[in-house]
Amino acid sequence: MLYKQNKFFLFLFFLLLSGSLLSQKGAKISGNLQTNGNFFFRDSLIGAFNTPQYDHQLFGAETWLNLNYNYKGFDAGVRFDMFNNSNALTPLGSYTDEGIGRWFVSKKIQKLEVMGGYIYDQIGSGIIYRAYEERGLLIDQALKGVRLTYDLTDDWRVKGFTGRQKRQFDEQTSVIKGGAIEGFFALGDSLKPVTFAPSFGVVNRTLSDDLVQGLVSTIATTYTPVDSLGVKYNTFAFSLSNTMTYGPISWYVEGAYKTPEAIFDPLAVRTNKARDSEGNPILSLGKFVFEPGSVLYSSLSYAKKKFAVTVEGKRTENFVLRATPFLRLEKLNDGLINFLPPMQRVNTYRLLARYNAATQEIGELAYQVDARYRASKKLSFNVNYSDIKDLDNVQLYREIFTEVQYKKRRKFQLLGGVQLQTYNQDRFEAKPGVPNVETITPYFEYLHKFSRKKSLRIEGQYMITGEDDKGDKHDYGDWAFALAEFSMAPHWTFTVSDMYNAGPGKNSPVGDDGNKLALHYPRFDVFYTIKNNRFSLSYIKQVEGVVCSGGICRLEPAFHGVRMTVNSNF
Amino acid sequence: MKNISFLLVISALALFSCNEIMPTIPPLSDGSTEPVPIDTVFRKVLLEEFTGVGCVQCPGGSATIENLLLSFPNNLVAISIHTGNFARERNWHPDQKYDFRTTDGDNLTSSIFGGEPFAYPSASVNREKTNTNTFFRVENEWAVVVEDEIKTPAAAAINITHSFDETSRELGIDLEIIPLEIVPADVRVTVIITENNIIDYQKDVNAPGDGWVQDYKHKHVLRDIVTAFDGDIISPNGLTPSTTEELSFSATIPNEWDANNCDIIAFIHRNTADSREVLQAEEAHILD
Repeated sequence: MLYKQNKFFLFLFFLLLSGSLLSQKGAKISGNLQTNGNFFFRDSLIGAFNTPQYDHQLFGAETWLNLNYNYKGFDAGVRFDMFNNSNALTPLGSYTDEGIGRWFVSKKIQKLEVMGGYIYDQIGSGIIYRAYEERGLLIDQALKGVRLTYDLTDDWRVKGFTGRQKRQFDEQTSVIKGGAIEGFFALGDSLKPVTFAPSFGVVNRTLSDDLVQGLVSTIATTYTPVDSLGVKYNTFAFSLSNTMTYGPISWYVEGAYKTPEAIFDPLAVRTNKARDSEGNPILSLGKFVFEPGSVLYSSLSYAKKKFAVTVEGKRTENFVLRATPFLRLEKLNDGLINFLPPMQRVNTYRLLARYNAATQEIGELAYQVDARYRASKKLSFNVNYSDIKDLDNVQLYREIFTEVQYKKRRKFQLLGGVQLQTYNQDRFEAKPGVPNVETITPYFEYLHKFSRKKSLRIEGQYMITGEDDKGDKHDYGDWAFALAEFSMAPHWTFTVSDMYNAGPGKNSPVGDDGNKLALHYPRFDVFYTIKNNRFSLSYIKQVEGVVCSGGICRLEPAFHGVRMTVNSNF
Repeated sequence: MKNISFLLVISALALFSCNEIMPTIPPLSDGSTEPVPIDTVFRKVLLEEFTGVGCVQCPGGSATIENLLLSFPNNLVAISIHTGNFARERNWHPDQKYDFRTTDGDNLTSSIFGGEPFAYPSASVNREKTNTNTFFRVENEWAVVVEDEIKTPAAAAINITHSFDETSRELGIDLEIIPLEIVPADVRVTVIITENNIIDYQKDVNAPGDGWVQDYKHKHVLRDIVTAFDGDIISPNGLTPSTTEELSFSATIPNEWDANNCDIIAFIHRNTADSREVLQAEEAHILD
């Protein structure tokens, strides 16, 4: 059925392209290609083994080929997706499939816009609804359905949508519907107005009979009376948000509420039917609970001339909003209908980004302050502080980040700083009893411009980790990282880097002699860009890690191999 | 004004829609009362759990298996396969007594299930694939799949008779496979020995301190696969209801295993490119 459907839309799309529409003046065709290929080199020392790719498949690839057609308010698009022995969907598994990953048609008819197919969209900041694609994590949660948008006035519009969430080349069985009204108005002095951009949204998710039967069956067969709970087909989520701006001040606030439903709480204590040797019920963590949810999120910014500051805060309680109540092992983000904004600074340097605070759907109280000051055209400063606790005041994450940047125009740019982190490995990676990982990471980046076309960028970072009671360094211990990148614009970029486990920690690999190994994880990249095409070839040796969420842990395996990518726009 | 009216209308619609008839959940049992047996008692379902001593969430998974065994005492057979990341030595307690991993278990995982699970605890139920072409299922999915599988009529019956010499520790196993419907080739039988109640370290997210439980009771531990790990072919032509298949196997139970706690598990299953479905399972204690 799916195959026939795909064939039909391909036929329809190419009919449109090859027919009279192409001959229309003003018609535009655009597209892009992204393809990745991985050659896997087995390396048992770093844990790059025991997966189909390392053992016998040896190669895996992913490709997305997107074509869009636009003519006088009529838009259509189709995307071919292909996965061959890919580990992108499930890091330890192998995924092979291909087909039409997305198609859509859209037409604006006066004030009404009609769209059908696979739709990416969001309400507000996404707290109650966000249908999006994130290829790095192989998240593609488009809504397969219909959306109507109507312009009430120039500044106010309303939209409604319904459909089912995409799941690879299939759909989730639950049905999603929702709507929002968004607008804009200004008050006060027309030269210095106070502007408002309010939005109100509603989303409803109706579970399928199979999913509800699954919940009933799970509760009836594995739960005891003390953990009894109700099950509902429907949940509703409402959000009210507004962005107010006045001169240099911008204030965003969003409140969301979700009606009670059965959600999985990985920290709730379950009383089992099974009993221990003394006849007491065995207790374990993780069970379905019937709870309402709420989120309050706000962001206040001030930016004027040399100084900018942003303060963000968020409180989350039981805001699990998914197309299915059952988590899938192979895809922890499966079925997410919404997106809860993270409260951690987005770090890009390799070691600074090693420990990340996953958003906690069950409970989180977090805030973040980011301040920037530009002392002169050459010198600027950035300080960031973030703090995340659960609703029982347990510290989950804390980061202090500082950066000083000095620029000498057309000559060089130097930046450096230090990052301090506290990371609750027990909670984020479900490793009970392990102490919080404490890190201090000084870093620098130097960019030297030899000429308009040639430049050299050098990065250096050193992560110092704390020690536990036994004197072992936390997690993998201390790391050193160095990178050199030579660019010859506009075509070539060469990068060489090494991540070195300088002071092995508790979880570092152990050698035959029983000692912790101080391993190197080198990487070499070559990028070639010509007009709209970009090619890359990389040799990569990458350390493994464990990522946990919702009581489910997933091994992010080590990688050793060669990666090729091609990106093209036309 | 028009906008506010619209907002009120959609809010009212949403609130009206909030009313629904909630599904009925049958009375729950605390495990102390006998569960109501299912009418179709004939089908026995095989649950193969993937676990490891360093897996902090696995005791929760183990408790769920025990809950299910209490709910379906005549229709469920469980095997715990210690394999993959959390079963590796680097994740053991320094004073760990036993290595629960087996070559058979590793072969089974890599060849039959296509590699290690993505996360733990996970389990396969009757080796039925999910709609994303994997065998691994999350813990809160097990109950519904087990119940669904139990309701499916069995394709065959398995009778296990066995003998065990406590001195030589020789175990003889005789299987009688009675097909109830036509099962085309390739159909195989696998015979497994499991051991219950082995006391050793296990990491547990619910345990105080460093999370290690010293005297954890490991259950349904895969000890040995008596047949080939991917099963022995029962008949090259498949099964037909008119023909009863009789097969014999033997094994020696090592002294380190407590025969009082060992079980024989036999199951018949498909082994084609499209299906590895378990058609029927049966279990017997070595010492009754």
